[in-house]
Amino acid sequence: MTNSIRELEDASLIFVIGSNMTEAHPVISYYVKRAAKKGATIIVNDPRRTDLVRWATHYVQIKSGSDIAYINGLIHEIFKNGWADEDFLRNCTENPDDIRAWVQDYPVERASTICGVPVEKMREIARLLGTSQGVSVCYTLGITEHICGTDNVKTLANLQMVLGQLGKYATGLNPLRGQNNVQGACDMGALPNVFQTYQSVTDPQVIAKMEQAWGVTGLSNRVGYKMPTMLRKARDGGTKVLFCVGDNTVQSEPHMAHTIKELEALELLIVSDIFPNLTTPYAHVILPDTCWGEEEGTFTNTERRVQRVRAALRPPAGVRPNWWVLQEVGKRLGVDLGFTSAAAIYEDMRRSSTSYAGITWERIGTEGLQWPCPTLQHPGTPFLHKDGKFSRGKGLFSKTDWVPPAEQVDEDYPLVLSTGRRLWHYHTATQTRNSVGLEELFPEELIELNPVDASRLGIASGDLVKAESRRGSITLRAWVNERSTPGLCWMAFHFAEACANELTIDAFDPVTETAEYKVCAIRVSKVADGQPFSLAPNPYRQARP
Amino acid sequence: MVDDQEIFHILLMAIRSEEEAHRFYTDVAARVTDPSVQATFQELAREELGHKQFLESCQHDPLLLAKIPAAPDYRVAEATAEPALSIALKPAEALALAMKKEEQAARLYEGLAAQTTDPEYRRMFEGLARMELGHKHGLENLFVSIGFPEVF
Repeated sequence: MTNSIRELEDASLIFVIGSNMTEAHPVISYYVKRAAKKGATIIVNDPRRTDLVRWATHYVQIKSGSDIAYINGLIHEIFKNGWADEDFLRNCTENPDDIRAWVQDYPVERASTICGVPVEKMREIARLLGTSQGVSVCYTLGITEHICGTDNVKTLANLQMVLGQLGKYATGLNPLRGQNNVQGACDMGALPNVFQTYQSVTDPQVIAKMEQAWGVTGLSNRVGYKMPTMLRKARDGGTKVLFCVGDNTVQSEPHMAHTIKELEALELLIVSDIFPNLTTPYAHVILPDTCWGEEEGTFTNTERRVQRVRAALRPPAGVRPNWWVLQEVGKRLGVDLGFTSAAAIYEDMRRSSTSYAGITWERIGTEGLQWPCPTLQHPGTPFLHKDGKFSRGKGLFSKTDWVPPAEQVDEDYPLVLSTGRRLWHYHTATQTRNSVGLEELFPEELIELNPVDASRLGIASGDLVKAESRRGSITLRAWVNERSTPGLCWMAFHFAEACANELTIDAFDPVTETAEYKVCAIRVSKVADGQPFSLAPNPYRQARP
Repeated sequence: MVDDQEIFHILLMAIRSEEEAHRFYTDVAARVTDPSVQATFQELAREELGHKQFLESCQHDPLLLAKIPAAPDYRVAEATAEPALSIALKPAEALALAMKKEEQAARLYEGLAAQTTDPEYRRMFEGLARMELGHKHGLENLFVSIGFPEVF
């Protein structure tokens, strides 16, 4: 996030797009609700009517995969009406004339036909954005899990620069990271092209610095593979060994049948996890891990806040922390890193980091610190790009054009499937489905269907249905509701017995290689009558729609 | 007892220093290739003129120096290597260069304050040091805001 979570409650307008935050980020949604209570304008943009709509002043039901057309249409309207921040454009951006020209291709009339939002509604949203004091944009995987995810993000950055809503309190471009420590994993260099704190592996000065810090020579300066490439290369021998640490690859990657073939092609698959899951049967070696309550370390959350994780329980006999396991593997490969604790590893990382250099184990305390924090005296940074300054000096607008999703509906597969998360479960549910209470609250996956589609297919809530895509099929019960528009189905990927990723498509954003989990074409047919169920009387069960 | 003339001359030295910084930034702005960096140096040059004007005011009212508040010293400049001057400087390097210069100026005045035995001189040098630390603090804030991006 460019800004901090708590700032949200002071925004005058919060533009939420592709984010089911009351289920996926309930704590952050609390601050949005506080903003709503203070009178902020809350605009929720989503193909599905999420719980947050109850708090919104405006709900915009856009077609899945149409974000670029929608946002470019809003920018066009903002320019047309003189609502752009001309001072910011002139003083803080490199190429304001370019963005003016580029969005000429997206008058609201054309954008509306692509995104499905009525012209008048688009005009109203543009007016609200263009005339509000403090606009904060929040987005999540509904923006990034598309083949155009990178361009989706760039388009939102364009919007905020046109509005001059960066570098100020309670504004900014705020991705709500998909999991609690995605930010931390990236910060630590769990990416194929950087060491910790985004120091490039191709920079000779960085290589020299790391070699000196670690007392080694010959560090590779080659950029590695991203995960989809790692898996794809398993089938041609380019990847021989895969070590999955806390990653249930079979269930979390798209096109499950294909993923299984890729894992089967490996010479060695090691899985380190806390419970058996869909991936462990394909592993040659399974290593038991500690879980979060049993280990020491840090998490860095979406607002760049580094926080301590403290062990509260002793792990079961024979179970070791991840760092210990990796160090033992290193020893057997001939390298003894010599660490004795998580704190020692953190300190080693910090000393050769940049933005974490001032965040010592001791300073983190109970409140944490937000990076950048480059010195021991520095208090951390609540928001970035102060006074409209950017790492390249001025902000650069990027040209983005709408492209349709990789797979279109047709006669054989006439429905769009979009996927996401439910409140009660986490990711592939390796943890949460082993929690009796959570499993009781939401014990099976349900495919959500609009009443129009359900009626046409002769399906009622509770019926057993078959959902099929070109890549696989699953059988599960239907939940008929009006969250989605006709033609759009929705389900999560938490349940191994009926996992959305048996259906999803392995089409990826070319830059990040993030899969298009949010759009694929399916068909749904009734298998058997079911016992009708009513979720309505139990609001907790259905995440309060 | 320090006479007004001596104070005037010390402040004149500080003014000359700001003028020199103004010339330096103006000169660098004319040479660098990146328009953003050019704009940054032009802005820095303008700021130096502002500092000069403040010091000129102090020549008439030396008590103004005593009113300069102490800025936090996060020591970011101290932890940052001084980039080599080049026409290919990046924006963060431009700010790094500027904050290093403010650091050096602040340390110079702090050193003079420590060396003098006259309390009036000490107060004046401490005031000048606080002024430079304030400038350093502002530049450090900007540097931190842009110097550590996520790069994928």
